[in-house]
Amino acid sequence: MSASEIPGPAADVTAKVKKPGYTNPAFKAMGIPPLRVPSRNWMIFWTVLTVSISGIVYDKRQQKKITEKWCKAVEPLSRGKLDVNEKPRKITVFVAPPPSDYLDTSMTVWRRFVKPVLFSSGLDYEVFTEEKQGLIRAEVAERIRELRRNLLQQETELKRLEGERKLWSRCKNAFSKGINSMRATKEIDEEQEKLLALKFKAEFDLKNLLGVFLKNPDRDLKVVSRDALVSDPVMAGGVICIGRGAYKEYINGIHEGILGPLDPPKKPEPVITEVENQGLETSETNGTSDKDQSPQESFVEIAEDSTEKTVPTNSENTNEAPTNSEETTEVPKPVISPYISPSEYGEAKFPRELTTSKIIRELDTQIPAIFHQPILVLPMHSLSGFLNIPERIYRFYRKRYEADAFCRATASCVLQKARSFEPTIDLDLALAEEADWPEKWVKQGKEKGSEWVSEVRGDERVLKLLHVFEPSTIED
Amino acid sequence: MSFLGFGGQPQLNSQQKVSAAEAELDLVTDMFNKLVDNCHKKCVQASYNEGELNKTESSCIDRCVSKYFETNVKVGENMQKLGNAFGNAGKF
Repeated sequence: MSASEIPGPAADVTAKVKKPGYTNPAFKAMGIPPLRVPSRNWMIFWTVLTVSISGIVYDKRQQKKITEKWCKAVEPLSRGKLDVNEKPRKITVFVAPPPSDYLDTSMTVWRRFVKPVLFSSGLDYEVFTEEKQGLIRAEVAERIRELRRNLLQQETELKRLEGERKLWSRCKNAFSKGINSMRATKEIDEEQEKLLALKFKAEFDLKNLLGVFLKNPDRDLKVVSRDALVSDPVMAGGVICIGRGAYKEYINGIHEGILGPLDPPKKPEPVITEVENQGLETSETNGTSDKDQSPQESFVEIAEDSTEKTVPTNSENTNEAPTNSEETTEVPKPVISPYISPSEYGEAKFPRELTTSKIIRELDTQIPAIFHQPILVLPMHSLSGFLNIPERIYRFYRKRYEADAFCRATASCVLQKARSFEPTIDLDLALAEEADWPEKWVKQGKEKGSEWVSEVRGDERVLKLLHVFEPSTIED
Repeated sequence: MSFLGFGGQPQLNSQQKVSAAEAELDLVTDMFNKLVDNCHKKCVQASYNEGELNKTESSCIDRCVSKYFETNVKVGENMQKLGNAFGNAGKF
């Protein structure tokens, strides 16, 4: 702004006088005009503003660059061939929100740092989120129990067919069938029509009509997953757990699924039994269900709005298996309580159906079971609280290092750098995240016996089946 | 018959059934062609280095097809609702 001297013959008294500015003989000799600089207060203001904003801008640019760099590093994998009847390798991702925080915090990490790397490498992924505690564990345990049930059913079917082949049972069947098969002709006609209709419907496939499919030799190829074709189950699939809570739940879920019973335990009596988890379902709205008169089971909600947290107390020994699982956002649905508590792991028998072969595969897709797939745990550092604000600001300006860690870990998952699980150190994966958890939340959780704050306990028989991805093996 | 599962179909004679089947085949073929066009434009890279599809393209095509079908079904349902609404309104 030019000097506000009023142009005119008479110099105005109120006109501002320009400060002379800094100069010295050397500057004068070089021809540099007198340097003028804003006042001290303005200088402070502009300095603070530019430093803070440029810090943010730089950090964000670096984050983007780092993500791009890791995406490019992983991209050559996506250029491999995939046959028309093949499905790519699939990663299961379990996301849990940080304590007393929103799920969105974890999902941001997933979307910005983990998903791009997985996408660039051509992998398929399935995300399972949860908003309450315990849903990941329930989901994982249910999947394993489903697998066990299917294996048992298959065994019984095979045995039954074996038995039928024998001559004596054949004769018996023929005799009894002969007697039962006398029916009225009208009935038979009706049934025949029904069967024909079903047959027509089943056989009516547009693939028989459309030109591309009509005479195509590849028409009836079965869809097979790449994971099913791999001989070593460590190389098949993968599990990513975002957050230590999710990891704890995952480990718990695995143990529950393998060592726990196939059917839910009986409804609890009104007596407080600390050892057994009864099959109670607690809703998130009321801390204790009507059937449960003891405050044994409650859930710790991670919902942001609720200040009270209900925690599933499965006896004091609930292990928090840090496994992430996604939960569907069905708010009113109560979380299923565990079928077995960690204190019972030692007594539980290892299920026979899981010992039939070295690699247990899902029946329909032949993909190795989820506990064979290596695990990657990503620590979700998320501080909260007023007094932590300086620390949070510091972390905010250094997010690029976090980004690098996340992307590197995901790259190790993509490139399949796995090693077997070591119970001494691997149960403490991402332990540093627990230092960030708010004290009050932890105390509340301990009172209610929440999974997340209890110690992870694992059974040797189960843990030796697991594998872990090792991010430190990735350089670059 | 198979694809369009309307409840309470009016009884058609065989001639009408044949033409209904033909119309349905036309519909499906048309949808298939559009689907192939769209997903090819979006997913298949133009560089043509090799004949086989790579993983990116395969996954992309899988996702494109499933999205297309879902959208198709949803649009169909909405159109049907609109049609019903018009039909009902026309009665007054």
